[in-house]
Amino acid sequence: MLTHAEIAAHAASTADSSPLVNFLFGKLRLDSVPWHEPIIMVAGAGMVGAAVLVLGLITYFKQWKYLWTEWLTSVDHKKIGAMYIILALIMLLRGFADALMMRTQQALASNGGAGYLPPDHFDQIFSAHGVIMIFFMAMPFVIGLMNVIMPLQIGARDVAFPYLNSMSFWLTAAGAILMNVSLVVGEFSHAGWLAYPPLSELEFSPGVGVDYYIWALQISGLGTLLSGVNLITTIFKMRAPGMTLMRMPVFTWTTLVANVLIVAVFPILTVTLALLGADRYLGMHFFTNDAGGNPMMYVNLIWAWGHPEVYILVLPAFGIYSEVVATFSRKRLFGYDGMVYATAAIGVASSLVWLHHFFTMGAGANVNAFFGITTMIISIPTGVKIFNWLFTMYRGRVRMELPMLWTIGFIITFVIGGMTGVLLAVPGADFVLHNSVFLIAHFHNVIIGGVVFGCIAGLNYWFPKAFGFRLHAGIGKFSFWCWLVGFWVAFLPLYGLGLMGMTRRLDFVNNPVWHAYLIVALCGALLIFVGIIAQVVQIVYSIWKRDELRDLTGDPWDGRTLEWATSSPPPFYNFAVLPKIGNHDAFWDAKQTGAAYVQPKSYEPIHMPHNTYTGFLIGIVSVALGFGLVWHIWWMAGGALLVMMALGVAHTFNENRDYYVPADEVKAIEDAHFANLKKAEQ
Amino acid sequence: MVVMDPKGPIGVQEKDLIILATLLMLIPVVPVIFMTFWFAWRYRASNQKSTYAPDFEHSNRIEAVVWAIPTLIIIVLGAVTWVSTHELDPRAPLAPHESVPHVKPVEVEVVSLDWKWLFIYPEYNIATVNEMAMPVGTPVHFKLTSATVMNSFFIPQLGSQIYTMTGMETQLALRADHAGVYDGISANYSGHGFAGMKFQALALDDAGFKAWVAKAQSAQATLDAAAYADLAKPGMEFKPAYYAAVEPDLFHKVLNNCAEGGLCTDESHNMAMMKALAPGADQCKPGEAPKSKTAKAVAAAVPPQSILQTSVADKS
Amino acid sequence: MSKTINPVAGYENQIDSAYDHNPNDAHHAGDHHDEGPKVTLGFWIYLMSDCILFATIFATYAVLKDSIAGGPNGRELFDLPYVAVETALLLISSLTYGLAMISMEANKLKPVIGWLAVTALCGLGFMGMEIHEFVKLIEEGAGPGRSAFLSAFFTLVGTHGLHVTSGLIWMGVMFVHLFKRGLTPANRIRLMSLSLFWHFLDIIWIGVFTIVYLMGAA
Repeated sequence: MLTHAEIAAHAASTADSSPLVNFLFGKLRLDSVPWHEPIIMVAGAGMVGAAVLVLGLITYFKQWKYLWTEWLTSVDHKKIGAMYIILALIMLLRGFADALMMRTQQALASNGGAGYLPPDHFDQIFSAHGVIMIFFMAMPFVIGLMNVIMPLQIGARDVAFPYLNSMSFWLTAAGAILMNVSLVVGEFSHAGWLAYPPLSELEFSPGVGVDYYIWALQISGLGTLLSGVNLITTIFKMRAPGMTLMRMPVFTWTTLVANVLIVAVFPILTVTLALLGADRYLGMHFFTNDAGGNPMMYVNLIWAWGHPEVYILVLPAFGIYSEVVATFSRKRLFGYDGMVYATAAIGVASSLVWLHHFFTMGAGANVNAFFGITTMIISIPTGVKIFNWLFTMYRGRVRMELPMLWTIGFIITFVIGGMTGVLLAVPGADFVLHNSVFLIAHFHNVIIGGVVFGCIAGLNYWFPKAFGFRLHAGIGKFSFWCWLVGFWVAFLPLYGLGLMGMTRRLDFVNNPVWHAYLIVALCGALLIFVGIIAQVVQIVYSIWKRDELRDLTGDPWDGRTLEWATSSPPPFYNFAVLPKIGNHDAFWDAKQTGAAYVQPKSYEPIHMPHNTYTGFLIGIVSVALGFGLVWHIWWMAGGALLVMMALGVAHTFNENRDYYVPADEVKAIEDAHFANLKKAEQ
Repeated sequence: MVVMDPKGPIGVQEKDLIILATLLMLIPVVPVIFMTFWFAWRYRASNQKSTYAPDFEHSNRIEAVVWAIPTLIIIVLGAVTWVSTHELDPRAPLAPHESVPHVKPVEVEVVSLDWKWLFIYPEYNIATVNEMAMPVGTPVHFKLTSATVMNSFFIPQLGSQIYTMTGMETQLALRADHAGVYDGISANYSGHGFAGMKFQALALDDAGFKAWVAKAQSAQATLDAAAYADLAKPGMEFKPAYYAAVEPDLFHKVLNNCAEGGLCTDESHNMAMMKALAPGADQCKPGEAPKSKTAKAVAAAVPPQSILQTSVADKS
Repeated sequence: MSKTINPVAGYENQIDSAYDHNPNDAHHAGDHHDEGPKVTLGFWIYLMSDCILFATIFATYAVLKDSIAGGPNGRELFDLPYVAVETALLLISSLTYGLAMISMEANKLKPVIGWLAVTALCGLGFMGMEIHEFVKLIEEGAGPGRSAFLSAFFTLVGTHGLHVTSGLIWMGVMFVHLFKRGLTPANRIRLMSLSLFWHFLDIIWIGVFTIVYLMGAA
């Protein structure tokens, strides 16, 4: 993280270097690392230390072979999904650290003090916070859950393109790695999570920060786009016999619509970042202040992607709630058809509202009013969904297990957030609230209340399926209350501050009244922090006590959908015999009629894909591609690109892609599962 | 809460919108929150006395209500949105306060710089930095642009904000109906000095406003091209400053990227238009008769002043 | 409690025939024919995302095409006869690819390779002409950094060119595959996908030369 003066000095030093040094190292020099910034050095040392510790432990316990064969080269959707979620949880810690730093700075610097963060650090922190939370926490979490669960819900053995799935994950991980490298080598963008020009152009952001931003997002965005293609094809082509579209679980429906949105809008992000990159690298003028550039075009393009993006995140969360409410109310989901149509309507409508993010940019009244009205219209199908969840609970038998607790917390929290959203959709109201901390409170309200609560509900709900043992409920409930109360304590003051005229992204402000509110907000953030620590403790403790928390039957919650028909964890092939589906809630019906848990008389060999290292290698080499592009080390970037292409081409010549699991191996695995079922009955 | 305690008609309308939208939204939101708690409590698994209807998963009546009521609310809010958005269009002219029905609006030109606000009063030939003034009850017509990156001009207690963008002119109309000193900020992050990019908007009675203008007119400094170039250099937390005279057409020059010399964008646009309409027309020397028929037509259609006055040759 | 429902009874006749070809089903294991529909659907979906990619660049071009910043406009720069030759090459290459696919359906490997080679040559010709045009423009001072219009022009036409180049590289790899293994099911699926890709690029080019060259030179 460098100041303008440092960048200028650095540029001078690179100008003095020999051509050979410039060729070998591009713009990278020893002073690219901010040695004299204590906060960064400590954070960086911590990061490097943690990485070294993990690598050391793996070596000490001789687990490299296991890691390689079971995880890094795996094409199993359950493993890939788990890795996505692990990535998300790690990046949650980093993104939340950014949040705590910002809250602390504002609490300290709102009553005459200067705080501890100079503006050119604070702006990198708020930029990194947004990028990490959206791209490297929420997206991987949601994509991870969709990966683990959707194939199981439709009775498939894997996704349509398992090797592509592996590549998608490792490209996402590469983007996250670049984000983390930017902390210690160079700087990150200081132009916010969407990098509006002209601030993000070379003239106003001459350092490497925006370049890290561009390449981290381009590389991980490619992974996400391929994932979209993969999951849509899976849903259309690999459902078990008898599972028509209108018999799919709602989570699968929301997965489908979210992935259609991914395929539709991620190309817009790709182009927009590429055009910004063209301005910065090739001297073009798409969004510059001069030579005809038009920054307003960027704003339109980035939000044409950006708004559907938040629906990509929230629709699968809505799907999780649908599953959880039905299961823990011991009742069919109310209004299945309405849920499906509402999901599709929300998906389509989400691409018609983007201008509400910049009502104040000066479009005429007709345009502003149109987009305001389309934005409000989305609240109608969303409201339908909420009522349908409530009427699922109605006349049910509601069990307040953890996932249900999170769902109740979601309903209360999210409706308030939705309310403030409809408020902001009125252009006249937005004119005084745009870019204030009221806006910040609104979108955190819906993203935390909607997406994060949903992901945590999904984590607690499906963890036993993925790993074979439950997460400890008591610690989980403590974490829930910390999150719920902490959220409101952190963000209610921000609603007030927005109405008091406080704008966002301020690294200092002088107002004793605001100071008090900001301290309360900091307390709320600290409470959430306790909740996050509790989640880490919950996971660690549950692993330690896994035998006591063991799920022997594969159906710890008395579930309704197909994923609960498998063991916990499922065998790598998911289903020994593909189920035939006659209805919604296929597994629930099977349990009622006694058709569940009937062991087949014989087994057939099962066709499964081999693991491959190609996805992993392509992802890892893409880190070099990104790093080389950021620092203008052209031989590194070009070489990495060639290696990635060569790996991809070489893979097409790999004819040893798949194999058969022999029938007796299948039988052995299934026998063990049925033995467990017997044990559980006792 | 300044947004809820506005001192001008724009802010008042916007406050009313916030309140109305909130009340309309509470119509579904309060029952939803109530139902959430009530259903979770009444239908909890340990309460064996409540009805258990595990296959109750459809009801046309409920569907009709849950689609219809939000739709009705949105229709109402949508209508309000359509009307209010047109009334609050920042470009729409604003009438003066009813107590002073015949005053003309004050024209203020605003330039956002790194990291300060420049105000130019073309009618008075003065300029100020980080402080502006307006007579109470008189509408102010702003024309805004940026010299660097996107900012957002905002006086929370008076109403609407509007973005400022390089090469673009946005407009805003505000009016202060009560005397006072109102905080002004930038509401769009613009770089390291963003947090300090504050100004004060003084709403003064007529005498006070005249005195303020006179104070600026008797300032030492003038905002000529050199002074502007100095002002345009990046810097943080500027104290208010006053200029007794302003470079002619400064706002127009800033808007067209020629405040510090160079070809103005609107000139080059005119030249391009000529090229497109009549190839070779731009080769004509000033004062020379156009040769081709099309060039004659162009010369007839485009008023000579706009081409000749802004031609490069005249800039010396 | 719930009605007793046998999830299977009465539904056997309704099972969609598509599911009989579930590639995961053991009976069809190893039969790569069944990969076909899956891969083709997946490729179509990718292609539609590519369509949106181009749509975004077209939209950007539309907004910026008049931002010539005092520099040259389309009318001064575009050489329509030259572009007509480029277009002819690309359209012919689509025709020859079609002939390759007909030979593939007729199981004739040599004509497939032959027509594919002609397609590649046309594609290389197209790329050569395009690169020549770009170099000339840059030398004349009408490079992508001159104005927003030129940035948009180079990016739109150039992105199409990058896609064509990728297609040519893919064709190169296909030659190796075909020489190595002939018309296996896997190679047929690949040729099918490349065919979709190549024709798609042709359609995009029609958009490009209409909106950029024909409308720009008017």
